[in-house]
Amino acid sequence: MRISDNTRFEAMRQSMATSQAQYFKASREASSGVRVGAPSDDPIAAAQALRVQSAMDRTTAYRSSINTVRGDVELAESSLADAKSDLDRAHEIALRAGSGQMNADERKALGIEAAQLKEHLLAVANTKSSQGYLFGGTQTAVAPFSASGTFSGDDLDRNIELANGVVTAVSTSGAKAFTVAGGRDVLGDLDALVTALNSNDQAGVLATVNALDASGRQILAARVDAGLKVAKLEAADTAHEQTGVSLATNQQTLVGSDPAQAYSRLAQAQQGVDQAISVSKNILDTLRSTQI
Amino acid sequence: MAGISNLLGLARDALNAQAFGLNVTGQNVANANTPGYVRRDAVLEARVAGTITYGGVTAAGIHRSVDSFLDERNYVASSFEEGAKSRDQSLGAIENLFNDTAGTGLSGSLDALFTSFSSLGASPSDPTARAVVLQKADEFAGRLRDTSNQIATLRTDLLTQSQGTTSRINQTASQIAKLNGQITLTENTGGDAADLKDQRDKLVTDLSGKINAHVFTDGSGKLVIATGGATLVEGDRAATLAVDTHADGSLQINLQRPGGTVLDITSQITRGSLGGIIEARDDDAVAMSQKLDQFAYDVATAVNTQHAAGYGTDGVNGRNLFAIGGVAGAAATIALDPAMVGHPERLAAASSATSLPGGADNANLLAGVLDKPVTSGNTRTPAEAYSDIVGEIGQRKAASAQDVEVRGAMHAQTKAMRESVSGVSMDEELVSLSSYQRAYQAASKLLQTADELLRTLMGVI
Repeated sequence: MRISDNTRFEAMRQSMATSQAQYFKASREASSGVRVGAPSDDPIAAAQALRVQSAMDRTTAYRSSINTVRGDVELAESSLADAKSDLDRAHEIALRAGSGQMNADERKALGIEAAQLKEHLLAVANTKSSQGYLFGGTQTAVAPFSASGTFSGDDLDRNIELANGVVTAVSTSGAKAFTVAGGRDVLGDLDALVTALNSNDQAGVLATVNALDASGRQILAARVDAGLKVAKLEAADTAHEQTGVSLATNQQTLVGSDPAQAYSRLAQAQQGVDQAISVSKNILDTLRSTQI
Repeated sequence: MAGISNLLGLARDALNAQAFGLNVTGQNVANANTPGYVRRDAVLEARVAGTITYGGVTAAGIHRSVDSFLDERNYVASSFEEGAKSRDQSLGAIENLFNDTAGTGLSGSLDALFTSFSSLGASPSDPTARAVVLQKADEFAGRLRDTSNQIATLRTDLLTQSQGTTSRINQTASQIAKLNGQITLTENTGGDAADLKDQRDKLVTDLSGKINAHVFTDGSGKLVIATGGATLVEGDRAATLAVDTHADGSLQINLQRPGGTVLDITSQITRGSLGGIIEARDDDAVAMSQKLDQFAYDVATAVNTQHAAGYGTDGVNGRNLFAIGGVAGAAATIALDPAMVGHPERLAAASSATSLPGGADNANLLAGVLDKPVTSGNTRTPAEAYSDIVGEIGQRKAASAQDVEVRGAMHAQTKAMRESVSGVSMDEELVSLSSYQRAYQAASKLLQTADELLRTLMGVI
């Protein structure tokens, strides 16, 4: 083929432009650590990376929700622990005051303590958290128990989405823990003890012993339920944390560049530029020697 | 004596012919870098003087080294390359919109909407969590509108660009027609039209970069340029192109021949920068825009359905979160429902009126909607559907970039082939220069010898 001067210059221009473009791409990849900077760099990886990113965002969102409610569930558990010790003490009082060796004054003194225990229990049942009243079910805006112990909440669960499609209850049912919905009216049982103590009614006091025991077990069951919820949230959080780590690794594999490969490509591209320059120089030298 | 006179005549002819050769070589050297210039050869012929053997030389003219087949291949390759480049450029602009690190960040805002629903599920009675949902929903709608508007703006820009390109095509076609007339006139009057033909070839190359041009000479020797089935230039007459839009908003390129009817040739323009513009504007951009509309419609409809099923803290249900019309133009018009603007309490977090205000089942279901296959005919989740859109634009852009490379290489090859016939090689010209120079010197010597012979003869007399 006959080679014109323009063909030679055009070939030089082309090889310089191509090698410079490859060098630019390789240096961008090596310096940024990103192999896929735009969807067209690798459409399949770019689309997959978006889905992975979306999954990572989900994981972060689930963890954030878990952390928002975890404090409340823990508070419910510790509140119920307080309630249980109140009932244990009330049970103890009932046992002591039920014996025949106690006089009216002693029973009255215990009656004052029992009344305080009831007040404390009422305060516990009306515990308020960041999301409103803890034991009112979904009725979080108003105190679920009145001073007389009337329950105005509901027995509906407050749920969060723990993972895709996994919804779990994070509220502890006040109805089941404190009212007849759970078997015993806890505040009513305490009331009965206070009344029996104040009226020095030994038989009445004895009659509350079993009821208070059952109430204590009812509170304990609710506490266990809250504790299990905390454990469940913690397990889910840990699982999400691990998922997040593996998704991040996956993301890096998809769009990130392997440093060793990136630098080797850069060195190769640099060599390409050097070669293009030296070949062009050679062609120009040849032209100069024949024509000048 | 006739012999010496003949010698003088021979020397004169030789000097003229070699000087002509030097002149043509000079033209080649001078135009080595002139775009469109075709290498010329001096055509030297023996001078015929009746039946006598005279032995003189004459410069018969200039030969342009052209191969019309290679020229045509080069025009085609050029129009393919320019078409690919122009489409690639526009696709780059669309790709940028969907590049989540640099674009409008639609994927991020979709994820943020999910996160806000999830947070609302954890804190249904928290006014801040409610306000965040409204803000994220508004932002998501805004990003969709922004992306859709930018595609629309790009289409408007491409319309303007097509008008500019068309006007340059008209200008070039009319110049070619004018040159055709001048070339015919020059050749009919015995002149040499090499320069005019070079100019015309350059203009045809320019034209083929803008539109697919099939160049040929008809039976009567007229140069004809056809685009698709329509004739753009025929001899000294050029048709004009005009840009309009079809009823669906796509580009309509009309061709009007002088005194003829208007012809819609849009479908026949497949190459050249105009072909690239049409493909990017009315195929790529429209496809991406439609996919975005479908995505916006599907997501908004699914969220609205779920939202309407729940109750706001005011105990009212049946409200939409997004205001959206039909599928067409959904991404351009989607907005936060006016009834929801400034009313976070109307967000339907609870699934029943009785579970107010602490119930959050519907908020959880709203988050769940964004993880359900509610898009692309209920086969893909919103995040998947969006990643499909990104994958598709990535694929289109990668394919067009590849096309630019392939077409560029093909054009470089046809250019090199054309150059191998029509290009100037300095080495050759230097050889020609020496050859004509030596011949000229020898002819001078011939003249000198004849002169001396004559002088000697005159001295004898």
